[in-house]
Amino acid sequence: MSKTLIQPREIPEQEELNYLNNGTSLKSWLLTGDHKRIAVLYLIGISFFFFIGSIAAGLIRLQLMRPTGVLLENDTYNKVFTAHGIVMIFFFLVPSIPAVFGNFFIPLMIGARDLAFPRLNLLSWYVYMLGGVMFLAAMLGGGVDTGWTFYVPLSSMYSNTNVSLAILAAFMAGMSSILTGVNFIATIHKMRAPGMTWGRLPLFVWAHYATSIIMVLGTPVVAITLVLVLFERTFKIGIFSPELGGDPVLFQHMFWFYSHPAVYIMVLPGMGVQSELIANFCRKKVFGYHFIAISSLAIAALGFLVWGHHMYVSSQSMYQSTVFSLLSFLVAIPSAIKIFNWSATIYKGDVRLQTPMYYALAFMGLFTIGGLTGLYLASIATDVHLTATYFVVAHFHYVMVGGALTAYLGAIHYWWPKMFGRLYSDSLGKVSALLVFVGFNLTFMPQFIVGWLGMPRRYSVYYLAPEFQAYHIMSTLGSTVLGIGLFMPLCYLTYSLFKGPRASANPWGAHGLEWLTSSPPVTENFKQIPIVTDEVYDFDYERDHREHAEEADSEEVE
Amino acid sequence: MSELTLDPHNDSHDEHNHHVHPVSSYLKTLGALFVLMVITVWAAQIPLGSWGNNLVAMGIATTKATLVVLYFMHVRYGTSLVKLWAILGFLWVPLLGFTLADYATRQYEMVPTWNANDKGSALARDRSGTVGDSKKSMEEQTEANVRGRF
Amino acid sequence: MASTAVDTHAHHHPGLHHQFEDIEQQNEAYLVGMWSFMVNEIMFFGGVFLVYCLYRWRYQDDFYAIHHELNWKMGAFNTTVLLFSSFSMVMAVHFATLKDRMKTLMNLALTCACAFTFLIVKYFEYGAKFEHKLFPGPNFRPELEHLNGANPNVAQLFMSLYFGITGLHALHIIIGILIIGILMGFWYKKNPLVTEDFLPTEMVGLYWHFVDLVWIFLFPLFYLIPR
Repeated sequence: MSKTLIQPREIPEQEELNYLNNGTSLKSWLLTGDHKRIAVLYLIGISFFFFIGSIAAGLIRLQLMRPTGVLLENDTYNKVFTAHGIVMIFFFLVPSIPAVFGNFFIPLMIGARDLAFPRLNLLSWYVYMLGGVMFLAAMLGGGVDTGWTFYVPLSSMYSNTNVSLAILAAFMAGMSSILTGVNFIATIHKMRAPGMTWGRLPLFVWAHYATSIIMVLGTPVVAITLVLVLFERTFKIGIFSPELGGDPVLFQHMFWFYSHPAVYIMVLPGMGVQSELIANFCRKKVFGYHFIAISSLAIAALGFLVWGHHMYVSSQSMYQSTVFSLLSFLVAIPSAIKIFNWSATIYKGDVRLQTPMYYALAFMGLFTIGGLTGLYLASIATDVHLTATYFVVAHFHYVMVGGALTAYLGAIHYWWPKMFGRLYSDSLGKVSALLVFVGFNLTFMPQFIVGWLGMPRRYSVYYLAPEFQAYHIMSTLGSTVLGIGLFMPLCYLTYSLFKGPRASANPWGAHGLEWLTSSPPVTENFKQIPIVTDEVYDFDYERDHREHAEEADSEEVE
Repeated sequence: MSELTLDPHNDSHDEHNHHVHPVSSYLKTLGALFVLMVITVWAAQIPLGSWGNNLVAMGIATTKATLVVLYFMHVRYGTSLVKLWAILGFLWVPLLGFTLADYATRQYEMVPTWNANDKGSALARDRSGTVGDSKKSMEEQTEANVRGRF
Repeated sequence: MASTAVDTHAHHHPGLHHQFEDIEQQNEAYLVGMWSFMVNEIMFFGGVFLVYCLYRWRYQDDFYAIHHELNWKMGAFNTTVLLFSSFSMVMAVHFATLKDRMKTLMNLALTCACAFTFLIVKYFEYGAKFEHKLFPGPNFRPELEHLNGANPNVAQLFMSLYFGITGLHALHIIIGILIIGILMGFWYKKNPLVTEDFLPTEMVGLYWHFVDLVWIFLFPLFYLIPR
């Protein structure tokens, strides 16, 4: 490995050489140990799977335009929504922000040359891609119809689709996320630059620390659960299926023990991004820094104790449901701490409405709606009415798309100049952000209503309730707008790669170690490991010392 | 295991500053592990009631595990971070506790499909006939099991 | 300016990777990584232990009856072997810290031998189950005497758990043998990666102790079920 790594410190200094053009062969990319290159590899892979998942989403919306369906057979519809769920959750949302931006920016933010285990990092990308290819094979070879939750006994006994391959693919995605988590934990613990104390860690890093803990502790449980389903399916041994002597509710316990914390894997990194965006575009230290940092850990810890709220109608004990309901309400506290602290940061801040800030503001509103509707689902009585309706669909899309995806887009727009050294058109960015916001709300707000009225999820037709059609048409219309809003960044960001103006080291005037290196960063991140002396998000410090820093920079160039 | 207390014996022989522990501590740990293993086999023969035996067996296993973690895995001399991780390993206990608490607080019935004679069952196993004629009929056994539980 | 970074690495440790400042930081990072991996493994086994606990609780009588099919003497023998292998492993780590190459190699070989012994005993145990048609699945057709009065379906569930969990454990043993073999190769070739630094040996040791830990719980859970 180390032979293929080109280490800049062994090369005479050249200003032009950064991680992107330091070695241009395909091999130098595919065998790289550089966390930034692996992040770019992840970015490509994730964008691809996001595209696949979006096509499936489009097909679902198209199908529901008419009460009798438009295009798909019932079986095909099952396969399409399963593909949408599995691709979006296991291959987009779980790795999205950690594997792309966490990978790229954690070492930069803490002042390290790389993650602790670069080869493990590369391996995680290969495992992820292998899993993705396996799922594509499962999809093209006939599809999977169990839904992303793989509920038994359907998945283990009855379904005659490619469940085994899909389970293996999900298992692979889980392995990849475990490797990422182990890597982040070791890196955050041991690779911080001198002076980078825990109290000076950017909140993005704190959020990823909490996320990594969930990845390492939660993912193995779903991995073993899926392996057991696979055993049951292959060898017909009874673990979960009642026909074979098992208990299907046990599967739900084990599955949701991971899959509820998994939504925090998806949204916590988004909250980390949010903290960075809010701090930078309000030019203030984040209000209640310590509270936000600790609330990430609190969400991670509480997240492990609430899985039962997915199982209120599953014959779970009602006493148990009550406890889970109470604990689920408690998760609202750390989430609200974050929202209130961000609002307090904006208050009297020097707010700059640039594209990433648009996404940050969208995140706050949409995530709040998603979180508050979660309270309906956490209380047992309303949940019994709302289980498996479009209300649930809308709720988690508000959290996952309105939260995680919005933060992902915000992160792309915020860090794009740093990652690729190019600036994109801010006005186009604003237009696309507005389109995403409007399109998203138009898609999912009607689903709250139609779900409340009783439209069940996963139905391909609803001709017994044709009055729902208006809502579905609104939703489909919104998804088209959303699609255009998502397609625009693809165009102007790709365009900026080639024709965009070059970015300076710190185009936003932001504060943080990642902005101290050049854009794009050199392979080893820092010519010299920085010594951190200032507090986190210290924008006053930044203002006072900017000139001084620039002087130092120019000296360095000479 | 207070007899295993040993001075850390800071033999800073090289730049790693790694503590070399006396072999005697490992030997004592191994001895204790063997003794505990014999005890656990012996205790399993004594009728203490199902719960009693389980508690004894799991208590001994936990003690053995603790010995291995503390002395063989050097957690006793490790940093507090390593200790924290060793403790985090117990996170699966809430998983176990919460899940079993669910089963303890509701009526959990034997799966009706186990009964091959019940025509309402979803899928009777094809091969059930070959194993069905044991001493008791499956139906009786199923009922006996349900009664035994509640 | 860049030259300062080069200078700090001028006389660096042979096993030091470029992203670390010094070998101490690298070792600490590796230990943290190893421990988080092991916690991850504990959760992995925790899942199957949960399945076991639930069904054991539900079907205590049948589990008691069918567990007579397992040979506790073989289990106890294997426990002894594994406990001893843990000891030889820790001795290997001990001698690795002292940079005593021959003794490290001997102890690693001893550990490997124990691991093979464990697998051989396991082979005979599994073989007996196959012979009695106790392997779960469509071929599960044991004679009555091998059921010991247990409900055949529960017996099959027990056997599924037995093969599943001990099989998973045996898989870890096999991986352990491979890792220890590679480590021995490094020691044999006097690779400075292991001779100059105790940590690779220590990490393999941690993994091996973890495998031992799992068996410490598996032994009473499967072989010593009380009435």
